[in-house]
Amino acid sequence: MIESLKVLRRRIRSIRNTGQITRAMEMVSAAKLRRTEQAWESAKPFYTYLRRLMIHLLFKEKEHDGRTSLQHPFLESRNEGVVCLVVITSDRGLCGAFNTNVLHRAEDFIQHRLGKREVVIYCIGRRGYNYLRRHRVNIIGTVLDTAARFEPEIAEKISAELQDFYLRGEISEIHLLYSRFVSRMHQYPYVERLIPLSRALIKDEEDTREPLSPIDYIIEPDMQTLVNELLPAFLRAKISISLLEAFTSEHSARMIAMTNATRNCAELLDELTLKMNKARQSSITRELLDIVGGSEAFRKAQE
Amino acid sequence: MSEYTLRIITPSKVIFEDTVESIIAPGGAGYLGVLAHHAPLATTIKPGRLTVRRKNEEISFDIGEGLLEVLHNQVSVLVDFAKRIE
Repeated sequence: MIESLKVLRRRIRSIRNTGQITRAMEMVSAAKLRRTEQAWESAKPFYTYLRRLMIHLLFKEKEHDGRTSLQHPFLESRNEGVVCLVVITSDRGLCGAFNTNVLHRAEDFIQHRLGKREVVIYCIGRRGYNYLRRHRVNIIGTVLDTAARFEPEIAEKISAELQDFYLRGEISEIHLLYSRFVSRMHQYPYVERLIPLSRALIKDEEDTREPLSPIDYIIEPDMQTLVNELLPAFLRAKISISLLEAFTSEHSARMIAMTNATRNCAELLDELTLKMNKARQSSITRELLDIVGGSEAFRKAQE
Repeated sequence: MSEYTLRIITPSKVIFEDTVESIIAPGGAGYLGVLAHHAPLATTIKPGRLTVRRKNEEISFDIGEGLLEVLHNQVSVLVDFAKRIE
């Protein structure tokens, strides 16, 4: 019994330490979450306006002859060739089911195309890389150790590399898989096709409120130059905004995971303290009984 | 003089958002001026200086590459960077 009291004390101490660590991690994640969320919010207008401009231009073009007459590699749909899936995961764990959800979705994606088209992976985040490299898929590019801190250069690098692969014809479709942020409690994995650019991507549910009548723009210097400028800029903006959203999801997933861990520690601590008190009390009772019994026996012996 | 809304937006944040009387911007086909009630227009932007005129002041920005859209009496300048010149 004495031994188990010692064991209980040791467990309580270690759980208390764990609780302090998870609590600290929770606060760190909360701070990072706030910063990332702000960066995401302030990056939204650029993407929103760029997308709106693209909708207007494509619609205007569509009015002329029913099909878009715009010429750009990003708009060509190629029905064969390699499909590239860009996967955004985290570098580090301790964030609940965040990575698992994304990687399950990635597996679905690969499985779905098995035997039809080859799938290659462009991987952001160490977790995804460590998991996917054990699968029979080619990983054509990686971005590791971003620490879920957004820098414009990261998006720059990713979109430049993807564009190169695409223009060289090594891949013919680009899909993006990342964790969408609904609220701090809810994020879900989501796949979007980036290239060929589809009307579905450009046109979101938000746009249904806006009138989509064709707009007769004055175009300068000419449509081709404008489109050549617009589409790569859109790709870059899309990747930036998705990275920011994924990082926001990651930080909130980690914050929630750590909040839960801290709460579990507190519960466990309560339980163990109760157990320890019981054990201590029973050992005291037993000692007292021993003493009483002993002195009783002693007195009897003296009589 | 009538006014319209100008927004200068970079990938990281909105640099400027206010009503103005006119702007002169370095467009892909040369400098262009925009007054209120301009027809819808979309153009590329070259790196250079964007001059904004409003009531009693003139503000200048150094801007990078990008695009400019005029629509419904609103002008959006989407550039990779923009910095106000004091």
